[in-house]
Amino acid sequence: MAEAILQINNISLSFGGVKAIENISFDVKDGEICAVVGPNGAGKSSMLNVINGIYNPQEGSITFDGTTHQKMTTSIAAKAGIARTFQNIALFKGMNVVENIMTGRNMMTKTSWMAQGLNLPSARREEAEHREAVEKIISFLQIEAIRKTQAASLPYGLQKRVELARAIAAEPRMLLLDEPMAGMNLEEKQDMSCFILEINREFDLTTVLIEHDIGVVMDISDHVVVLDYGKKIGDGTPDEVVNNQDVIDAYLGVSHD
Amino acid sequence: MDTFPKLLGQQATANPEKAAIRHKRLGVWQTKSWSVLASEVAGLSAGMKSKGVGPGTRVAVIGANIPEMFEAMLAAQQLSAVVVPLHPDSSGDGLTQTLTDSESEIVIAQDQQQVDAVLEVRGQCPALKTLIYVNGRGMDDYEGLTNLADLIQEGASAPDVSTISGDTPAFIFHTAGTSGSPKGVVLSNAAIIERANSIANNENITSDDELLAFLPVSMAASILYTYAISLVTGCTLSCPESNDTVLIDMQEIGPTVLYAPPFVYKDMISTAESRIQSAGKMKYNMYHAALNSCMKIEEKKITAGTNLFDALLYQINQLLVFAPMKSVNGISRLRVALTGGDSIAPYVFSFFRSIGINLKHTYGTTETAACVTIQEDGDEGHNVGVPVEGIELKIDEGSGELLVKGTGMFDSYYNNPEATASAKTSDGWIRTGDLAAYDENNNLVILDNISEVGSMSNGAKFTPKPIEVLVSGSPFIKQCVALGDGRGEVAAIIVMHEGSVNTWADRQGIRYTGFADLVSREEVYTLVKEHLGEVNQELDSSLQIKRFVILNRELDIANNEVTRARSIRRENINSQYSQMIEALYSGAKEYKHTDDNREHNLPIMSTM
Repeated sequence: MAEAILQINNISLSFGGVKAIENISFDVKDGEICAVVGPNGAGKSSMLNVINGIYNPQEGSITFDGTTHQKMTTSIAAKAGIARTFQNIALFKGMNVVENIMTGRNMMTKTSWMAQGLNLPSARREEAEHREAVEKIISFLQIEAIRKTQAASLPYGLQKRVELARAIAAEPRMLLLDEPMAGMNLEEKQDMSCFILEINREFDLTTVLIEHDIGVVMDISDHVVVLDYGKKIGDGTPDEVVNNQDVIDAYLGVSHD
Repeated sequence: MDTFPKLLGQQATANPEKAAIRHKRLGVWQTKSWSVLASEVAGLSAGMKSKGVGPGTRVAVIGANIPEMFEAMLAAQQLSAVVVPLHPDSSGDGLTQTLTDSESEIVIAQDQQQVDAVLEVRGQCPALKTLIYVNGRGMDDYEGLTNLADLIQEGASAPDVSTISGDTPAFIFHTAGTSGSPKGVVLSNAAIIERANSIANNENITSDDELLAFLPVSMAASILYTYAISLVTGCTLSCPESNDTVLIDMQEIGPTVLYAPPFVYKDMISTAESRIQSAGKMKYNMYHAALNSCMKIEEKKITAGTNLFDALLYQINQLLVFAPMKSVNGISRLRVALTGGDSIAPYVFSFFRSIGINLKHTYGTTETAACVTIQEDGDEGHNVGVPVEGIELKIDEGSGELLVKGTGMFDSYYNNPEATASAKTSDGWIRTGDLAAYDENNNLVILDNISEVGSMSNGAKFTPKPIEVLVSGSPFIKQCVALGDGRGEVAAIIVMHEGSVNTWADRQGIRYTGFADLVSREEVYTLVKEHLGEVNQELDSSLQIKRFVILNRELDIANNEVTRARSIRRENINSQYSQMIEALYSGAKEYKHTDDNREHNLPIMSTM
């Protein structure tokens, strides 16, 4: 059994009087694809935002790669190797695809801003290395044809793919994907599923993804966590989860009293 | 030099440092010189020998234009094996047919897509022993496959190829055939090489030229104009990064010699039209004014002759308007532009000549090594030109069928002596199956495929091809199926070009929900009607199109409506669209077309 790379320990998060997440714990094993699913408003995005430090929970802690953080921040998360994509695409719209993906390498830049500004040989060499790494990702995600296309002019499905490319360009330890397949047609969803699976295998990259379409995630996930109204109602393999009565009730809309 | 392996040896000795093949990897063009290519092929050939490849072994290759595919072909031919090039998308029954017909023992597949297709039919192909792949992505848990890279025995010396004779079979191409099952056409090394030499001499192709391989290798013409021409002349062959990047790769490479079927050239015009439609008003007007004036000048060249002013105007237009347009399309350096395989609309010809590209028609069948005639330079007529070196032509007096004799004819259909016998006359002419005639300047004109010529109810001959060619001359129309066999008048099914008709509609301010909706609109029907009115003026009165319907989608390759080269499969269209065709002749105002379980009302319009 692989060890847990991420442990969510008794996390509770509320906004004013609204409890978004209530005392949730789960583990994500190294190398697995873990899907966090649930109906709208179940607390999925909040959970992801807690993991990479956008929200600070009132209670609980996060253990990533052996270090426990009472208070995770975006900067700690990024430095620890947690990369993410957003539900609403957050690309630099005026930049082309290569430039967007290159920004994913920002954290790994070693030469100083001065060296870069003066375009010294060391900076040029480093840029060439980063560019090569980016090209490998472009080839992997089959977006060669749009390399020089401005991000804003791309169709939605391709923008999603570029955002994914940027996230993996950072060579993260763990990838967080916020609804990577939202708004896509069936064919685009299948393509995206294949890419997520291949990234997981090829780069041995632990992936946590959010999806409200439970059907899509069952095929590609090793592990599924089901949230409903901020509570965890299911946690296990896809088979275990679909046979879980609480999950069935939540998805079929049994009244909560 | 009468074999491909000998040509490789010759180029490696004569031009060792010169670029032989180029491929874009990770965004950067990687070049292999002739000497590097020769040593890699030698290593691969040794590895293939260890897998049992020897004289006469059929080695199928299935994949895109990548250096590994060309290297595998050369390596197989060094061992006197026969290469069976297959379309990268072939699968299912089509793939089974070609693999079993050619009795292929080894398949070299590009990546997972092709490997999966082969694995699916493997059980039905008893001759198939070994499956080799080039790119193993996604295939970690596949078993029993060989990676091409593992086969290469580095430092191995090339086998002795001096004893391989020119008549050794080099390729088996499968003719798509607009009807019936495919036949394997066996062409020898010498047949293709002699033809490549004739073309190279005719068009002055040298080692300084640049080629881009983008057509499927399953076409004989694709092999002739890339693989063979490059080996014969020593010029550089570039392979696109991927199927989606061909246009970008073309801009970067700037090929000087290009062969493509008519639909590729037609697509260039439609794309240009759609780009200029979405440009500013000034650019749009300038483009069309320049195009009109250059087309008139081209016309004057034939009729009245041009004066100094025309020449000046022509040059100004080229410089200001067409040079940038050609640069965007990657055809600035294009010196030799050839087309063939299907008829091409006069408009497409005039267009390319007007923008300063000497587009020339060629004619040939797979059985005759893909090219037996080429148009002469400066010939403005709509013909396929004159025979290339070593070719004799004859038109059968009774049937009007074109017969060909000379060097480079096919050897046989693989394992099919009956078909071979019926394709040749008793005195050694090859039947082409095409109806042909000579024009006033003794240039060959291809009228139609004999099997497609029908008769109308008044007894007049019905030849659909010339009608369809004229109709598809509009940049807005992608395809046309002319109907009339056994009928009193001609009707047509029209397929619009999505890109250009969409931008046209945007410019006109027409609101629509999608392509299917747009092409059923009255505005689009009127656009087509106007064009058909012009076309009708050029047709004999019995062949004029009386009624037409616009299809709400493109003709489908998967559905066997067109071949991969976009030739119409008439029998299938007649059966699949029989109700629509009946409606066209019934005088109905519209036809309820069911497609993907959805009903569409397609209006039927009269051209009168």
